[in-house]
Amino acid sequence: MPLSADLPPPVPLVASAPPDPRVASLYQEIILSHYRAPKHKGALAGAAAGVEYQNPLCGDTISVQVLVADGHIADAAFGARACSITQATASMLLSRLIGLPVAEATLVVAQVERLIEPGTPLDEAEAASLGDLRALASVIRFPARKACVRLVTVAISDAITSR
Amino acid sequence: MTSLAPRSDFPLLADAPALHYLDSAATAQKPRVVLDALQQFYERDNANPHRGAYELSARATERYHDARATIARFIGATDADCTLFLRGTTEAMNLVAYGWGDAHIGAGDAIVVTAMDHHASFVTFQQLARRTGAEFRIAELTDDGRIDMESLRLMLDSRVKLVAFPHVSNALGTINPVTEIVAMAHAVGAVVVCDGAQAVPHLSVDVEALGVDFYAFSGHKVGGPMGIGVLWGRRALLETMSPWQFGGDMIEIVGDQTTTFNTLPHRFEAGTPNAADAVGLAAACDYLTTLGMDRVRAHEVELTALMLDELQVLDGIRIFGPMNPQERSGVVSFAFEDVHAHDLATILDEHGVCVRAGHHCAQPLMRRLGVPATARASVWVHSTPDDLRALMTALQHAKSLFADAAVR
Repeated sequence: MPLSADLPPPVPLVASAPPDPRVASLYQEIILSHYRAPKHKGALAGAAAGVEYQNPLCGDTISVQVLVADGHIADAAFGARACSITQATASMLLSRLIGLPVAEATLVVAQVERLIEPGTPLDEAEAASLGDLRALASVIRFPARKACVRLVTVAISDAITSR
Repeated sequence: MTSLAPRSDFPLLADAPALHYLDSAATAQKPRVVLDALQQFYERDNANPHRGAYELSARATERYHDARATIARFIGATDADCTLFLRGTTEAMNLVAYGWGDAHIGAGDAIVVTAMDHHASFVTFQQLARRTGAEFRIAELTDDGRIDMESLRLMLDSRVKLVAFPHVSNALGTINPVTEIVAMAHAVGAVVVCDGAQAVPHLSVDVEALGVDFYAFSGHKVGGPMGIGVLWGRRALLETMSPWQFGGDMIEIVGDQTTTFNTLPHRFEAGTPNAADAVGLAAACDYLTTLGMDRVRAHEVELTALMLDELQVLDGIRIFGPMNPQERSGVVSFAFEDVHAHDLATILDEHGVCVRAGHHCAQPLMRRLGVPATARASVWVHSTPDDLRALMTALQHAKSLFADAAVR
């Protein structure tokens, strides 16, 4: 028996969806596009050291490889079985980090962590330097999803320090 | 078709008319009668049971005693003293492992669980196997999410001392053939532990007719308070088990060097008992008895059939577990190729639809399904087709948001 048998006449489903500014703010095109076509997803050629992390609450996994040469992030890659927020974070963050000196890369990772926490605002210059990553600021309104970002920042930090 | 129980029976739902709570499998909303019973206990009957000689303490003791009788009756246990109060299913499984398992299982023995066991059972008995040196065997599942009975049959031999499985799978909804599994396990002399956490709120359960040796469930999934649950066990087994926690209430005579222990059920309930929550859980059982467990089941079958029919039309959906609503509970897990379960749950939340997203404390099962997580919608007595329509609307929205996602 179809559900509609007991219900008022069906209305177009999407059109009937309530306004959802919060969801729209989380799933901005910039995040969705990194999820659909992630950058730096795969494995690095050669034997770069890697770390693998799992979010014990949800089972999502991410692995990160970082190649450091002359004190700079020469290359990096990630693998993931994870949600859009985790994958987009990895795609955007690795894109931002590659080419940076290690010390600066560590700073950027810390800024992303501040971006999703209340009470640790970035100044204008810091925010501007994050580029696409600023889209993650909306995660602040979805406390349940902070872990999706932190899974990436922790894995990347660890990959950098344990290289 | 409307709800079986009016929304107004549940204060939280009555206060949130736009909320579509489809996560009863995680925890049930609480009927007003349960909250009233808790408050009445604390306002009228509160004293430490089994201790004072004064009338108030006697009343608290009686309320606790009556609650046990009500709950035992609800699960078909004629011997109420074999119905032990613990914190929940997890603690119940641990009592079986430490209280019975450590004394009866050793190197050369085997323990059998299934690939659909909840971590409360899976991990507890996996660790029992590691502690004792026993072999840990996992019965595999069929493609449609049932226990593969042939796989199970092949691993049952005289070395098997313990068989654990869920009455109803929390992640697949599958209702398992308990009596058949019990017969197979008993044929090789194994003790059977059944996880009833997802069965007691939804099915008429008779632990004695099922033939199991131990049966556990959690009060909060039945509409009772959090922090109380039940382990029912056969008297002959419980009486041979050593207490696993020591303290007040569970003793008989305490000498300077030795102690003798109290009788059932007190020997397994050390310390001040959780009398108020027992009273609350009994009120939840009474509430369901008044609704009628057969009607609860019929209502959920009807809703599950609707949900399966509607979900099936969604592009790219994978629905896990048996597709016949008669063979499953009102729990439906599903996944999309292009929208991760967490993203679904976040978008659904914006529509007021509460579903669980994750591995459902069943990582071994998720590995076998080949997904990191699923979304899970579950119904109960207050659920309506309107809740399911909201689910469908929200799912369509999520699908459209992620449309054309060529995700690698």
